[in-house]
Amino acid sequence: MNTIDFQRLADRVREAVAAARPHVRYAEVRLERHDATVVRFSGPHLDAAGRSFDAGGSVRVLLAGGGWGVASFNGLEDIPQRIRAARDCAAVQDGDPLPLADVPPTVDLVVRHVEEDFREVPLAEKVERMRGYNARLLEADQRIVDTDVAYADRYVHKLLVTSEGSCIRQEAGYCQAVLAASARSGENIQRAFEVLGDTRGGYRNARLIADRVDAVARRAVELLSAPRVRAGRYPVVLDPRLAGVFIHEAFGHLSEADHICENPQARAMMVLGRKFAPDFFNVYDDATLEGQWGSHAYDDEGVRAAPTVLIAQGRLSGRLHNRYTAARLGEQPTGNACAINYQHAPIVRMTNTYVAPGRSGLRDLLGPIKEGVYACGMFGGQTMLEDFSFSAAHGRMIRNGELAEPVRDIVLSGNLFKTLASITAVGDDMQMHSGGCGKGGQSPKPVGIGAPHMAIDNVLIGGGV
Amino acid sequence: MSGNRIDAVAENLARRTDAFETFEVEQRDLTASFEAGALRSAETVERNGLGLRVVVGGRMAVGGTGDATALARTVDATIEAAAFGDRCAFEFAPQAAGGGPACYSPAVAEMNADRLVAVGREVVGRLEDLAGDGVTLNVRVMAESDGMKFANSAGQRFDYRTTRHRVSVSLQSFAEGDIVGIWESDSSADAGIDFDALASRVREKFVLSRQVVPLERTDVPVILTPHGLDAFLAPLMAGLDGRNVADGVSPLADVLGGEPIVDTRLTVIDDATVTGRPGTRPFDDEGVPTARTVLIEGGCVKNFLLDLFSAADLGLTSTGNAARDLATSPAPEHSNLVVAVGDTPLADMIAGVKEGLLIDYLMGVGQGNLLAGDYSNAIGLGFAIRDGRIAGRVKGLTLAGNVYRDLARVTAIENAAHWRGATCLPHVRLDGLSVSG
Repeated sequence: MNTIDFQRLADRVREAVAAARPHVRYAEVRLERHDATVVRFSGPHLDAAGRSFDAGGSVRVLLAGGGWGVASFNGLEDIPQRIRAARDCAAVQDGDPLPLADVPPTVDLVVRHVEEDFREVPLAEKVERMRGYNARLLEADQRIVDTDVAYADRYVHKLLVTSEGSCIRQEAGYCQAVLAASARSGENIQRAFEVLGDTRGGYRNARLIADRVDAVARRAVELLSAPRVRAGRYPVVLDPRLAGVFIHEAFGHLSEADHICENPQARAMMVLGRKFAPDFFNVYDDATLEGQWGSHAYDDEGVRAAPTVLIAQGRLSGRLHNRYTAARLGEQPTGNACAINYQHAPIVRMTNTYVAPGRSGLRDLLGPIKEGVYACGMFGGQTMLEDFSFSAAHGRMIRNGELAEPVRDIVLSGNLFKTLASITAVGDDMQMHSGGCGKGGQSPKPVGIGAPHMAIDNVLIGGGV
Repeated sequence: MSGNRIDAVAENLARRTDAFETFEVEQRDLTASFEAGALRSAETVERNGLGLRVVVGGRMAVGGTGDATALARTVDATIEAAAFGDRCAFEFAPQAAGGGPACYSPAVAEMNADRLVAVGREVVGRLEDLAGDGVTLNVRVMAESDGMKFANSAGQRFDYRTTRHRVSVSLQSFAEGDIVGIWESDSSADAGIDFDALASRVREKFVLSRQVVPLERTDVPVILTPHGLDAFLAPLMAGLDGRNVADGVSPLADVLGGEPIVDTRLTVIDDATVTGRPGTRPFDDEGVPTARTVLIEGGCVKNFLLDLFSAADLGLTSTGNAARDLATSPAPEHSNLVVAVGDTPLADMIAGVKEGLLIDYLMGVGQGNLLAGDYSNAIGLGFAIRDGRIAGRVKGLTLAGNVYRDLARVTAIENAAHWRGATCLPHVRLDGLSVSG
C-alpha cells in the first residue's frame, strides 16, 4: 500500500472516530500494514524463503466508567464496526474511570530513513547471500553439524487516530540477520550465534554480517573443548552485549511502571531518589536514538518519544510509563506504550535501554580480579520481580587480572537490589545491540540493549560440579 | 473468511502447482483482565488467515497472510519463491480420518464479556482476602474459539473447531528486601475449570511463601512439583524433536529403541487424543491424524515427535505433531504431555525428606544449551523441606546439571498426576542434584 492509499485510509478512520466521539470518553484506532521477507536455512535445508503481507488493527475505547474495551482484528475494513466491538467490551465495565495523562493532540507523518531499502532487493539475492553464509558455516569445520542462518526484513506502516485529534503515521524498516552454528563431538553439542539488526541500515545489515561468519564457526568449535564453569560466587566482567542483557533483566523490567503502580508498597520501594547503584552508574531508556532496534518516533498511544533517565548517579530518577500509569503516579508520560503488532493493546515496554559509558578501559576492569569470570554474548535472560537470571553465550576465566581458559554454560543470577549495589566499574566502550523482549504475551518486541563492559562483584554463577 | 475461500485457493493451486497444502484459520479470543482485583480491560481479538505450502518443479515454498486483500499476491509470491526452495522429499498427507476428538464446547464459544467478567469476579472473590497493602492480585480470564479448514493435493480435507477456556492468577507481594510472585493457571477445552482447586493452589503457595528460610546444605534431595518438572523436561523435549534428530543435533538420535537414557520408571507420552485438553485436536497442521505417542517408556526412547519432513528424513512415519503459523514451515511440537505415575503418595514423599527442596519454578528455561541436556537455572519459586514438612521459601539458589544424568537419579515418583492445561505430571523426587547459592 503506497503513501497515498494510507492517507486515504487515515481520512476514513478520522471520519469513523469523529462519528464515535459523542459516545465515548476516549477512542483510538491503530492500523498497521507489514510487508516482510524471511529467508531461513537450517543445516543444508532451506526452511523458508518468501514474502508475506499482513494488515490489521486494534481499537481501544474508554466510556464514562471503568477501563478499556479493546477490539483487535485482521484487515483494514469495517472500522465503524470494530469501534462498536470495542465499545461493547468497554460497556461491561463500571467503576472508577481509568485515568489517562494528557498528551497534546498531534498530527504527523514520520518516515524513518532506511539506508539500503530492502524492498528493492530481489528475493533471489537475499536467498543466495544467506545460502552463501550458510555454506561457509557448514564447511568451516567438520565438527559443525548444523546451522541456523536467517534473514528477516519488515517494512511497517502504522496509523494512529484518536478522538482527541491525534493522527500520526509512521513508517519504519526493520532488518535483521542471524547466524548460528552447532558443533558436535560425541555427546557434546555446543552452539554459537550472532545477531545483527537495526532500523537504519536496511539490507546493508545482511552484507555486514559477512564478517561474523568465521567467528561464529570458530566459537561453536571452541566451546566443545571448554569445560563447564564451576558453580560459585565470582567477581565478573560482562562484555557489552551481556551487560546490556543484564541491565534489561536486572533493572529494566522493574522500571516499567505498570509493575508497581497498583501496589503501594512497591511504589514506596521504588521511590525516586532511592540509591540503587554506585555514583558512577547511569541508565537511560531512549527511543529517539537514531536507527536502533527499539527506536520509534511516537509510541502506540501517540506520545512523542523522549529520553528517560532511569538511574542518575546511582539513584532512581525515572520510570517508563503509558498514559494510565503516568496518571496513576502523577508523572509525565514517557512514550513507552508499545504493542508488538496490531493483535495487541499497548503495554509499557522498554525501547533502547542502556548503561552510559564510564571511564575505565577493559584492562582496568580485569586488573583487580584474582579469580573471576569474563562472560560474553548472550543466550537469554529472564526477570521475576526482584530476581533475574541471564545466560552468557561464552566466556573465559579471569586469573590474576588476565583472561585465562575458556569456560561455558555460564548462567548468572541474582537479586536486583544486591547486584546493582555490587557493580564495581563501568567501561568506556558502550555498544548497542538488538534484542527481543517478552512481556505479557507480547514477544518478541524489538528492543535495543546497550552497555559498555561492566564489572560486578559477588555474582552467583550456576554450573557444573 | 468465507467458507468457499479455501476451495477457491485449492482450485487455483491445483492448476499451478505439482502439489499443495492450504489451510484457513479463524480465531476469536475474548479476555477480561483484573488488576489489583479491579476489572481493567475487556479485549476481543479476531484473527483470520490463510496459509499455504506449494511444490513447483519439485521445489517447496510456504506463505500466508491475514490480510484478505493480499491473498492473490501471497499465492503468487509463494509460487514464485518455490524456485529457490529445497526439493520436496516427502508426500503430503493422504485422506484419512482424525485421531483425537475436536474439543468444541458451545458453552465456551458463547462466553461473552459479561460472562468472563463474572468468572473473574468469582476468582477474585476467592482470593481477595490475601491482597493487602503490599500484595496485588491480578486475574485474567480468557475464552477462545478456533476454526481450522484444510485441503491438500493428496486428497486430505477437513474442517474442525475447538475451544479453550483459561484462567490465570498472579499474586505479587512487595516488601522491603523481599519481592515474590505466585503464578497459577489452568485451561481446558470446556468450561470445566475447577476454580476452587486453582484458588487453593494459589493460597497454599502464598501461605508457604510468607516465611523465608535458609537452606543449610546444598547436597539435598529435590522434589519437583508438576510445574517444576515441566521446565525440567524442556531439554528432553528438544532432544525428542524430530527436526533436531534429522539435523543431527539431538543427543537421542542413536538411542531409538535402545538402552534407557533416564530412570526406567519414567514414561513420557505425547497425547493429542485426550478429551477436553488444550493440546487435543483431530489432525496436525499438515493434515496428519493425531495420535497418542509413547516417547519414552521404561526410560528408553521409543518415538520422536515427527512431522512429514523429519519422518521422511528418518525413514519413519509422522506422529501427527506438526504445528505451523500462517507463513512458516511446519515443525514438530508436543501436544498434551503426560508423565506416567509412580507409586509414592505425595505426603510420603515430603514426609520422607529430612532436609531438601521442593521446587515449583525454574527461571530462564530454554536459555542455554538445551540440546546437550545441560541446564543451569535460578530457582524462581522453591521451598525448603525440613524434617518432613515444608518450612518456608528459599531464595537465591540455582539448580544446575544435565537432564539426562539427573533424570537417572529419580528416587520417587508420585502416585498421582495432575492436569494443568496441556500437561499431566506427577511430583518427582531426584537425589544428588547440584544446588548452589
